[in-house]
This record gives sequence, C-alpha cells and structure tokens, in this order.
Amino acid sequence: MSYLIEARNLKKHFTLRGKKVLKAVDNVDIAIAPGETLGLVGESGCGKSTVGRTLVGLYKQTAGEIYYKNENIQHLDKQKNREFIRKTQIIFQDPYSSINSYMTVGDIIAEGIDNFKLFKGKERQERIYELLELVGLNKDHTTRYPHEFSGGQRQRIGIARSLAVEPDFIICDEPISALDVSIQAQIVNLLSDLQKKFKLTYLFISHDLSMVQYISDRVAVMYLGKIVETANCDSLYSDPHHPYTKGLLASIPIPDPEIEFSRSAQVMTGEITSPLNPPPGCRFSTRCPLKKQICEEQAPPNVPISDSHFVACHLYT
Amino acid sequence: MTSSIMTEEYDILHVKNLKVDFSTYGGTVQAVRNISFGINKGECLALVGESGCGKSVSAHSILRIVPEPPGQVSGEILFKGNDLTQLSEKQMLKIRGAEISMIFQDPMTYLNPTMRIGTQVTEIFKEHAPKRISGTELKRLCIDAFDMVGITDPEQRFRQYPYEFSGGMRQRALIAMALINKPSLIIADEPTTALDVTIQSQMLELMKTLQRETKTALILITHDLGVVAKMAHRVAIIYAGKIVETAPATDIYRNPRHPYTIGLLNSIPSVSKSSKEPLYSIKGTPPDLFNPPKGCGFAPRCEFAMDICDNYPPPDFQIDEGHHSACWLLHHQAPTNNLKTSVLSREGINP
Repeated sequence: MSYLIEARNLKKHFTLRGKKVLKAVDNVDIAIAPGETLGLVGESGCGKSTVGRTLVGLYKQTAGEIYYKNENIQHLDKQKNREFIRKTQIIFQDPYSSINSYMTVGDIIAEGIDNFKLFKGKERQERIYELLELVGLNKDHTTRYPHEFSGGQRQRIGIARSLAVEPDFIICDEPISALDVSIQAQIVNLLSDLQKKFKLTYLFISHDLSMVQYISDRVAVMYLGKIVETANCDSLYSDPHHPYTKGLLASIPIPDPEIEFSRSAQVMTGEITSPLNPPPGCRFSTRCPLKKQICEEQAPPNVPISDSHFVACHLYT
Repeated sequence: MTSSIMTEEYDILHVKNLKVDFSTYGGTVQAVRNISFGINKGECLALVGESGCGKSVSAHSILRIVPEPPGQVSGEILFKGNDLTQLSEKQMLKIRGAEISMIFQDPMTYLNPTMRIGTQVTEIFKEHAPKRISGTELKRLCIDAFDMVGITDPEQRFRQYPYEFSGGMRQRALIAMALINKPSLIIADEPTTALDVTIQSQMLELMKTLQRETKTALILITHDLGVVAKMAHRVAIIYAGKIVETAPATDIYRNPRHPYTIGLLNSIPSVSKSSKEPLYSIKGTPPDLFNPPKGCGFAPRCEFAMDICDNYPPPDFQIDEGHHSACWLLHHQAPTNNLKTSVLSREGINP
C-alpha cells in the first residue's frame, strides 16, 4: 500500500532546563493515503501539534523515519527537499498571529509563489486573484492589510496562502478552534470543497470531536505522546474500544437537553499526567477505570480489532 | 408591543432595558442594545452568542464592573428588588463576591501568581465577614470549600501557589472562591472554554451538582450549545447586542423559531450522523456594532429577510409560555415560509 506520507516510530523529545526530557511524541506510527483526511484528536499537551510539525520537517525528529511518497525525507537531495517543503503546508490555529500584519493580503499569499518562483508579473497577480476567489474573498482584498479582516476571513487568507504553492498535503492545526460557531461551519465546508477540487490530503488536528468526525476518513486518538486508537471514522465513533476514547466521547456535551438529561454522568476522573514524568506501562493507567496490574508495568501493544481498527490497550490482548 | 419579559416576575435578578455603549476613538460601539432578562432561585440561565455579541458585557454590567468611562450603562438591574445601578461603589463592594460572585473564563490569569491559593480563596470570605476571623477558622473553611469542589489533599493545596495547580484544579479553586460566601447568584463567563473536554465535563458536572445543592441561581455565558444543553433551564440567544430568542432549554433545541437560532443549531455537526453533506453555515459575518443595522441585526445574513426586516427592528413575539422571539417572520401578516421545515432533525447518541 502506498501512502502519501508515513512516519514510523516517530519520536520527538525536547530537552528542557535541568536536562529533563519531555517526550512530546513517543513512538508514533502514522500513515496517510493520498486524498485521505486523517483526524488527530487529543487533549492539550498530548503532542498532536508536535506530530504535525515534525511530519513536515518544522521540527527535526529525535528518532524514527518519515517517508514522503515512499522516500525518506532525511535523505532527500536539495532540490527534492525544496519540493517536499512546497508540497507540504500548514494552516495554523490562530489567524491573528499566523499572518504578518505589516504585509498586504496579496503579498502574504504570494510569498510562497515568489519563494518558489512559480509565477511572475501579471501571472502572479492573476494567481492571487484566483486564490482569493477560491477561498471566498475577492480581488479588492489584495491591497488590504490583515487588521481589516475578521477572524474567519483571516483564516481564509491563511488557507489561500497555503494553497498558493500547490501543495498536496496540508496540516490543519486546529484551524477552526479560534473561530465563532457560525464561522466554523463555513471554514470546514471550504476545506472539504478544496480537498475535492485539488485532491488534497489532510491531517486535521483538533480537539473538537464532532468536527473531526465530520471531516475525517480515519481518526487517530492521542494520549500523552502516544496514539492509543486508530480507526475508520464510523468505527471509532460507533464502536470505541480504548477506555480513553470512550471517556473522551462521553465527555462531549451533546447539543440536546433531553439526551443530556437522560445520559448518565460519566465523568473521566483525573487530569492528563505531565509528559515530563509519564507513568511506566500504559500512559493512561493513572486515569483508567479498567486498569489491571499489567497496565502499570508494561506498555500495551497495538492490537488489531479489524483491518483498519487498532487499539493500544491490554484489555484486548 | 411591550414584551412580557418586562412584566414577568423574577425573584433573584431582573435586568430591564440594559444598554451599554463604549466611546472609542473610532466612534461609539453599541455593545448591548436594550436587553431584558431575569433569573429565579435555583435556575440556570444561559446567555448564548458569538464573540462580540454583548453577552459578557451584559453580565459585567450586573456587577457594575464595566469601566465607566469609556462605558455608559443605562437601564435597571433589579437584584432581589434593589436597583444595583443606584447603589454607591461602597454598597456594591458588599454585594460583589458575597451576594453575587463571578467565575471568569481563564483560570490561568485570574489568580494572583504571587499569593497562595488558600489566601486568595479565604480573602473573599474575610472581606465580607462581619467580624474578625482567626486564621485556623479560615483555613478550616477553605479546606471545606476545597473538599466540596473536589480538590484532593486540601491541607497541602492550601499552602500552594497557582503555578503548582493544573488548569482544572485552578478552575476548581475559582469555583471554591465563588461559592465560599454562599451567594444567591453566580455569573460564570465561559467557565470551561479554556479547558479540555474531559476536564470540561468534570467542571460542568461539579457546577451542576453544587448548584442543585445550594439552590444558587446561575447565569452561564457560553457559545457552546452542547454545554448549554447540559446545564441550562432557560436560554437567551444574543445576536448583535440584542436577545433574539429566549425560551426554556428544550424549546430552543426542539422548536427554535428565530432564523439565527436555527442556523446555529444546524451548523453543529452531529456526532450521531455520519453524513458527508456540506454543513449548514450562516453566510456572512456579524454586523459592526459601531453602526448597527437599522432594522433587525440579523437581517443582512438572514435567508428569510423581508423588506421590513431591514428597516424596522422586530418586536418580541410570544410563542409559548416563556418562549419569545424577536423576528418579523412571526408576525401574523408575514408570508408563509419554510423556516420551520429548515430545522433539520437533530439527534444525538449515547456513546
């Protein structure tokens, strides 16, 4: 099976003051097929953004290999590396701090075009107009500055910027969590339209499980630097196996008072443990309601439930 | 047409015709444009709206913590029959933190990083106590409060500083602070927005239990309709500085009548359905409150807008007992429309 991007045994450790090691990402396997959307969910601090940034080379991995179109990105020559950089783009969470407020919208969008010398002069201008239109803005916006736009519009500028260099893989790092509810749906619709149009592959990082379900084909659940469950979207939401996934799904409030009223108050106790000092064995063992003795001693293996559903939990071994 | 929200009786708080303007260099922002609402003992009222719609400002003006100037607040705020707008600053100090307390959004910035948590929690009690209280007594009180909100190791936690607390624990400490004087009204301004889902659900469960036990009235400010469904008895939907619809919680979800409410509900993907049809989205962006629309604030984005909507602000129409909506489509002369059929059936699951 050929994947567009694949990471094997990916590790990213940060060394902090006092020689403490923060294992933000620890032995993660991730593989995304062309045209697919993989949702990556988890609580803050679980390492989901780090996975995204490491995948496109913004962070250098501590260990493990990353393959882009079956080529190890560490061994790419200069030209291919530039190609890799161009083909993998990120849409950031905060539309206020991720675009330069001293540049005009046109220059922001064209920065990638200029860097890779894709278009010049009149063609460049045409390309900017085309991109603006694509994301639901218009030509007149080219000469304006970011402060003249609302959060949702700025996110559209960020999307146009990432599309400018014709990428095939885009990491959407919480692209909607800074936006208002009525704007979130607009941006998600835009992202899925663009995906169809340009056959894009997404890694959609979010903590909003209902949006992830809407946009993703497959979902990976992360906890404390490890992926605990991966499955097709339907299978994960209708038949979660890992106790953490179950707890996470039970924690989302459902926008319906009658269901909320009848739903038993299942509360996951405790909080995410510090990644500086993760428990030995299963990382989730400190909060797990179904913990056995082995969970505290040995890290759980990845158990296949079906062809595409994997869970890292001792309950299923 | 006068709205009957004005004439209804509320025993804890009744806000009438609240208006808040802010003068800025760019002009005057009409943040809150004539809002009325009320709350009874033991009730939870949710104020729902997008950022900048005026929901926080309305809540802040109840406690009179809107800075004046640049703010200008007018209207009546009746708290147990007394108009808070008429009180002196000294009298307000007696009410804040004792009769009405507030839980803020960001537990990271709200606590003083240089003071021990115990000192911060008991400070509020000490300020409002009629006579001097001994340190040991204060500590006992604080430890009781910590127990109530589920802070483990209260003895040790009492002496710690905010940086030693995690986000969830800080929010628990804030809830303890809000409850320590047994107030009759708590205002929670986006209390769980900064938290993770699992912690959010712990906090909501805690607030719900405590509210039931203490019979405190709770005003919950949020934009998350899931949180609202879990907590609220009544809901007021705010758009562009006005309440567009207010109803008991079930009616908001089952029988929404304002196009904005309907749009909001439809734009949430449902966890139960896995359809990949495009999400419903409300077109456009919220209006600029420097220069709010002459008629209905939602008209520029509304699919069903009529000529009258652009020119005259809609009055409040009563739909049911306690269910009001400010929309011209509910006028008896309004043409028939497919507003109701556009309410998609919404269902959830019990995972």
